[in-house]
Amino acid sequence: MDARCRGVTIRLAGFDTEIEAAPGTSLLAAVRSAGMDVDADCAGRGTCGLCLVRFLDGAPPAGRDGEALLSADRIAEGWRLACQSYVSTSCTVALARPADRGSMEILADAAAPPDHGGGRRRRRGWGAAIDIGTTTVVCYLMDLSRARQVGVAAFANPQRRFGQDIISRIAHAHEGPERLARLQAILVDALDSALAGLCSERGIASDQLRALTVVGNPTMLHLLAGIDPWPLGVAPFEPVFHESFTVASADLGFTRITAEVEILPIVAGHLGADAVAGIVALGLPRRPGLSLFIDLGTNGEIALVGAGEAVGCSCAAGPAFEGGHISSGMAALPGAVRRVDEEDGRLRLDVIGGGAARGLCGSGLTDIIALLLAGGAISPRGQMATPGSLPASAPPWVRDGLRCSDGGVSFALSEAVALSAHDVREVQLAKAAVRTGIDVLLEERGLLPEHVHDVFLAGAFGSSIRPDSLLALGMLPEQLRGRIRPVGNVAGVGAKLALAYEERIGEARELARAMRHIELMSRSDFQDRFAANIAFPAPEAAL
Amino acid sequence: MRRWVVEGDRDALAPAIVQALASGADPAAILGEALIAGMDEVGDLFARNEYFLPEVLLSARAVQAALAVLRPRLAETGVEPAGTVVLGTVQGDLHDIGKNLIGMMLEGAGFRVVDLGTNVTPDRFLQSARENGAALVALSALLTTTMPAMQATVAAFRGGGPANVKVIVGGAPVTEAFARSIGADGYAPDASAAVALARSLVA
Repeated sequence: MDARCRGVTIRLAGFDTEIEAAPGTSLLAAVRSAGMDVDADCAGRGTCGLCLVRFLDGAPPAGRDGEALLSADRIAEGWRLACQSYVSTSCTVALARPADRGSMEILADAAAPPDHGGGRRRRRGWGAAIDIGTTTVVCYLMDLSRARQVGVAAFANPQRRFGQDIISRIAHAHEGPERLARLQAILVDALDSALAGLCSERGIASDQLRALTVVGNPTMLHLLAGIDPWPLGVAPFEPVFHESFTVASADLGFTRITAEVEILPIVAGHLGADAVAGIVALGLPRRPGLSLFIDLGTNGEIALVGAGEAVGCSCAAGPAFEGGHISSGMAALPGAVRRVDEEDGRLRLDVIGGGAARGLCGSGLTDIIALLLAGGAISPRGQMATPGSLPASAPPWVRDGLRCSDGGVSFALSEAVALSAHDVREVQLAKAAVRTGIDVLLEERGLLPEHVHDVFLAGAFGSSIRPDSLLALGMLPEQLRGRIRPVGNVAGVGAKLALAYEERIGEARELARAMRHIELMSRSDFQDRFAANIAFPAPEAAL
Repeated sequence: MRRWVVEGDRDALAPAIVQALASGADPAAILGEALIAGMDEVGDLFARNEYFLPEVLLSARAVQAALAVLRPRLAETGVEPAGTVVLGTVQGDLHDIGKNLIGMMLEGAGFRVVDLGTNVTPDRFLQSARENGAALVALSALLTTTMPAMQATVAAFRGGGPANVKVIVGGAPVTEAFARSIGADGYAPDASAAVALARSLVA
């Protein structure tokens, strides 16, 4: 037998499965080639730590990137990152089951009652509006004759295991046509079964589903359509298509349902149909005054709409507001602190689901930073005070929570949840990116913050976000106080309206064509503006 | 003067240097004891999470202004730069800030820095390294999708670049393992580590 062909055998403990692999193959690749799923949000770069496995025997040497995430004890016990483990001998491996990943609860209903203005019905029968997020996907089954929602299904985007963020997924899709096809297929398959399930729950024959209207960020829409999104990953970030288009579901790989699939238009590489749909749902083009729309995810989309013009930009806010890169960060799931208040000289935590606090989601994160700024524990420059350097005027709850350890300063909200000095830095970067986008859009139109009538916060923040905390952080200009409204997932509402009404699909197409896109990073003043926005406003200025 | 560097006070630093030079101070001593030592301290503060981007930018700008005053006098007294670094963000990537920060830190550390900006092709890196007699080429990438361009740039140097030029890489998605896999001479996770790496490779 040729030595090249002599593989190693990987036994998967608890699965009664053996995988043959060529020596030097990464364990992640070997396990996936056997058709099994392992989460790896960083797409196998050794940075997210999700593909944790334990070698029961035959453990390879730990890679250097893995060492950064694992203690020496854990390495000695055989724990490794699958993506950084290159198997050279036969081995036995136990796959770790990452806690809580399967049981994600997704807020499937839009919080804001849309000011949709109605219109002429586009179709009769049944249809579905679909909002494809990088993280979550929501399908709304609609009775089109009555323009009413009759069912909803939400699930985690199955592409997540090939990279959590947009750019990782673009990189993965570009590695070969079979990768692109697989990303498309797993998404279509999940949509196909969710829609077929919704139909059967309602007693609707799946061939009665006439139309699907899809929104999402440009990358998700490219992947759904089976188009290589690579141009969105490199400058100048131009999408392959802008205009909305319709395709038969069978052409995308749907098998359980048959419908025409309409993909809504996109404005620019990272300013997508999700923002367009949200703006249409809120009726912003028809409002007399000027509106600021902010859809916040890892990629923030910001638009200034009204008075006969629309400008928009995208900004790299990063995952901090979704709990990413934050030491106690988590999504807005049960156990997340969603609000923090100071009451009678003590902190009061509002925890989703009411149990013990397990982590901080975006709204709780901004609340605690705002409170610590006001309490003098975080300086306007973003430094966290040590117990020794705290001003004498600081309230006792601030003093009691500050901790100093080898890892640096932190503030303990509870036994399990803390805010580290580094977390504050992550939030500074995120809020500076958003604020810079707002400032640039206002300047592009020659307007001042006080000219803005309404601010709509969509996306990651959810409805728990406290506008006052965002003002305290300086993410929004102080002049906008009293005009800020959290509106939840309005992209889905916009998709439903565009599915149901002639006027609304027309408005979406018109808006996407008319909106002027500003590329923040190509502006020569971006760095100075961004750096200037990193500091927090002085607390007295925010009062 | 070192204090003005650490505090990022450009308006105080440059006049102080003019005055010191007029009263006969050694330009090399000002460079070493005020500017380089000051930027080293800034790097430490950054590494300890006490300083953040805005503070480092202020200090780096103060040093740039100071170098504009000091450089001609250094040349007169025959003080050579620590070496020339050609710096840029690779093709397809427009991210600027991290790269600019490293450029300023390297200048503060006594290197001559040629900043090619963003979206730089492998050929431009090669050409500039040749023209400037660079000892070091530093590549930045902030997008996973532009890491292949980083690989292509390193390959261009390996396949016909000037001899003895070291290529170092960095940026959020870049890891030590990636740096090794594309044959780079070094990897730095942040700006102060990049200065230490540059010193170790050029010394």
